[in-house]
Amino acid sequence: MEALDIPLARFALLYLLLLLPLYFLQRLKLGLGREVLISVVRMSVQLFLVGIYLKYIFAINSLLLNILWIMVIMVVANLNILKKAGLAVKKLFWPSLAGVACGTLVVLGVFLFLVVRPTPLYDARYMIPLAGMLLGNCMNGNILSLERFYSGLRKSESTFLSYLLMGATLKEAVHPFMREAIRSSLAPTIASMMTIGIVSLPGMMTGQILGGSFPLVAIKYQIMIMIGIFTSLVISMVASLYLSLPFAFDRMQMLRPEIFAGKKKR
Amino acid sequence: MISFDAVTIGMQGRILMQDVSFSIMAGEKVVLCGKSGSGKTTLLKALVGGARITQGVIRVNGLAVLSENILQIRQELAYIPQEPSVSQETAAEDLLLPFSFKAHSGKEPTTAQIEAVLGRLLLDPVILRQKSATLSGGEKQRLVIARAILLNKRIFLADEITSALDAESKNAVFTFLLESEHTVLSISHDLEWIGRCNRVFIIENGILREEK
Ligand SMILES: Nc1ncnc2c1ncn2[C@@H]1O[C@H](COP(=O)(O)OP(=O)(O)OP(=O)(O)O)[C@@H](O)[C@H]1O
Ligand SMILES: [Mg+2]
Repeated sequence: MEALDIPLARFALLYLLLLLPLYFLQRLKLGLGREVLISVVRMSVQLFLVGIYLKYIFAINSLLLNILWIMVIMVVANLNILKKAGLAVKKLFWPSLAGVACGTLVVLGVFLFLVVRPTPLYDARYMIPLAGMLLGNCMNGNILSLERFYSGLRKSESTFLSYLLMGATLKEAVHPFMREAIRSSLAPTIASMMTIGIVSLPGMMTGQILGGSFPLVAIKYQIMIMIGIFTSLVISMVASLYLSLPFAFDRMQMLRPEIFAGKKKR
Repeated sequence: MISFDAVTIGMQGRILMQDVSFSIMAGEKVVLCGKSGSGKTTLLKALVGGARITQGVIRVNGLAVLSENILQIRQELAYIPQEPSVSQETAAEDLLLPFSFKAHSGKEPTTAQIEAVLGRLLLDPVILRQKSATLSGGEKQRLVIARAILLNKRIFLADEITSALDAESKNAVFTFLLESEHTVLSISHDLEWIGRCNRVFIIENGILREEK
């Protein structure tokens, strides 16, 4: 079974639909029009390019190419994490990349080798979308946790210092900050697990059902995805935070101001 | 015991403090005054390696404040920051936070010791069961002071620690810190506190001078 294709003329209708939100934004004088247009154009172009790219990747289906692709999207995700978290790419590129890689690859491995077991194991139709989905979630989670952790430390530097004077090691002194950052960054994911299926059918499941999968199969995949997302999220958050510590503190155990991107002139 | 020798501290290209020199003997009670933003907190932080200095040497018990000595220096001092902050679930966990660190594990104070310290700061022990987030400003401030006291340190760095306290509990803190053999380097705008210290330093336009 295949999903109904949408003819081009009717597809264009979708873009007309955008006039509605644009009208409201205009009326409210939010001044977001330009930004919205740019983001819609980018979204469309990127998805089409990826669609074309994926077509070839699926056709060629080579292990090497798949690995290369995953490496590329990991680097892109990592750059995005550091940029959005306001951290200096130069200082934290490697530890943050390693954290994201840990979270994504461990879960991807379990999915492919133990749970789904496609043939071949590296089948691009499974490997690529699963990696992309895990990575996308790790990316959003790590943006939150890194941003909260380091901005929290910067804001409460005196408190952190007072912990060091109470005999805390570096790890002990950052622990309260880490706990807070992880807790608040996981909250949205936990909340979405609580309500999933009641209100919203998640994107992948909707896609599969539209694509003709029997709902029970789609549900199994969805549960796998939710557990996988949560697991990879926690692993990548914890790994990124811990791995970044040696790069973020100086020999006096104080936060290096250089790790923040775009130091503003006072 | 504590000495600053021609210390200059710069902050993002501008000089905050220039050529600061002084020394403090064991047991002295020193208070640092100056306008907001004059660098008082930065000076205290520099003493425990929490702010970078551009020039000069700071010494604590003869040891220069450098990375190779920093762990030993930090053992000697207690630092009570300007904004008391609590991070644990309950007040008891916050009070005993230092004893969850490896450095002090197994050295938890007894209930009697805890109650004695809380009593001296006029804190009712029932607050220990309270959620930390619900403590009042003055209770938080005293809880953080109590936490520093429980570690039995000899040198206290105290950054405006009585700002949220009423006359009675302020007096209790005065008595503990200023009528003891502890060495105290403090920041305060409180005239009574200033009056009870032996030495008064003033920072103005990046220069530190002692008021005689
Ligand atoms: N991490 C930092 N980065 C940049 N500037 C800083 C930093 N810390 C302090 N400053 C600046 O250095 C100056 C001195 O700050 P400091 O906190 O030492 O002042 P203070 O005398 O304690 O003031 P207050 O009485 O308001 O507490 C201020 O202008 C402050 O903005
Ligand atoms: Mg201050």
